Amino acid sequence: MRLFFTLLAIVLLLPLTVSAEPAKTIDELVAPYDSSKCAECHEEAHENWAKSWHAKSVTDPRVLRAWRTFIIQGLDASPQAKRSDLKHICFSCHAPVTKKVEITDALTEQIADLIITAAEDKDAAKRDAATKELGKLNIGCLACHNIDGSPDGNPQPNTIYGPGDAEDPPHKEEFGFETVKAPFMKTAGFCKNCHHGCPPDMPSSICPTLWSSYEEEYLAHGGDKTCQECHMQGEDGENHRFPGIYEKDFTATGVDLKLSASSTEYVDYFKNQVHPTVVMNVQLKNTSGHGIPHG
Amino acid sequence: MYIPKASLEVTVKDQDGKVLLTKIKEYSVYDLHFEDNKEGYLGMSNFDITAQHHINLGLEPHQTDSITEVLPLAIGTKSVTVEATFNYLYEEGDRAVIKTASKTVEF
Repeated sequence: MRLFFTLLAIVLLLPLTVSAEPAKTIDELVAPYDSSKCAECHEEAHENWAKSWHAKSVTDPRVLRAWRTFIIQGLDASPQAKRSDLKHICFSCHAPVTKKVEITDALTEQIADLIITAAEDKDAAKRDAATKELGKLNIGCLACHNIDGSPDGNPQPNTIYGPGDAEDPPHKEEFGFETVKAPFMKTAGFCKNCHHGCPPDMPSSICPTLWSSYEEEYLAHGGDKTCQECHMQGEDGENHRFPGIYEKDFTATGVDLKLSASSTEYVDYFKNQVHPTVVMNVQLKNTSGHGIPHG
Repeated sequence: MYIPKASLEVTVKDQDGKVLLTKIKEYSVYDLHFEDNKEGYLGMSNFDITAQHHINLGLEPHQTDSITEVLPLAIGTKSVTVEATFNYLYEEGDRAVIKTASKTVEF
């Protein structure tokens, strides 16, 4: 829940949208950023992405339930707020296509209805149908490789931004897309937009997030890894599954656990007895790049 | 109730499997709105992190926490097994043991 309003600053910084006509349906909204063709060549990356939380940025059950609560307890309960405010508060990260394609209030409200249906409708068929429709909004390839991929915040249309590792990918010949190398995508700052989201001049004492823990407690005390070095680890360093705390083996790499236990004796002077005694010490060290639990 | 937490737990069992000691330390983070805080964006005080107090009971990077115990045992105890676990409580009913360390001490 804590991230809901760290995103306000982003709204103020959004680049102009690419479409003059606001989208009236989810299909209209997502069509300009369809990533389905990417899987034809980037099969492994696509398979990994499909298992990632980015691929469930809208439809993960926990996201849906939390979002439902925010709509009902936050937006609906406040006389100053309305459901169409979702697009200003949540969508830029959970459904980043809305940064580039304008969306009507009516469609935003329709999406809010779908979220509530997907989260809590008693009819499983309705829940599944709503989840399927909302799934079109999940973070796809072009969210990072176009919408957020330009270091100047002004991505060009029909352009693929990549970290610069690939040799002359045939995007132009195959799809008419330019390819632009953006080493910026390898930096932690690339993740900051959504995993921090506070205004640049706002101190973490006011807006504490996963990022402020990374910056103030990890980097400031000698840490030197980027987000990607842990959360995109793989044979080629490009794991698009983005393992996190819900993967036990990965989470285990973020802590050291040491145990010592020794035998000794305790003399009970009052009762004239000698008891076998164990002395133990357990040490837990956070070796990750941010606080536990966080985010 | 959904309160994401991590925990460090130590359990001591004797040679018969009887639990002699359990110690738990929990790590959690809260953002809570109080009356004297500013009002949240659009009146939504419970959802605006900038209008809330940050109560950090977590474990920050590079930090080490520990549990030390001295446990006198019943006379005749032959051995005890000390087990330490680091756990995540994702939500009610969804708890995962992330890391375990164990040592048996004989007398």
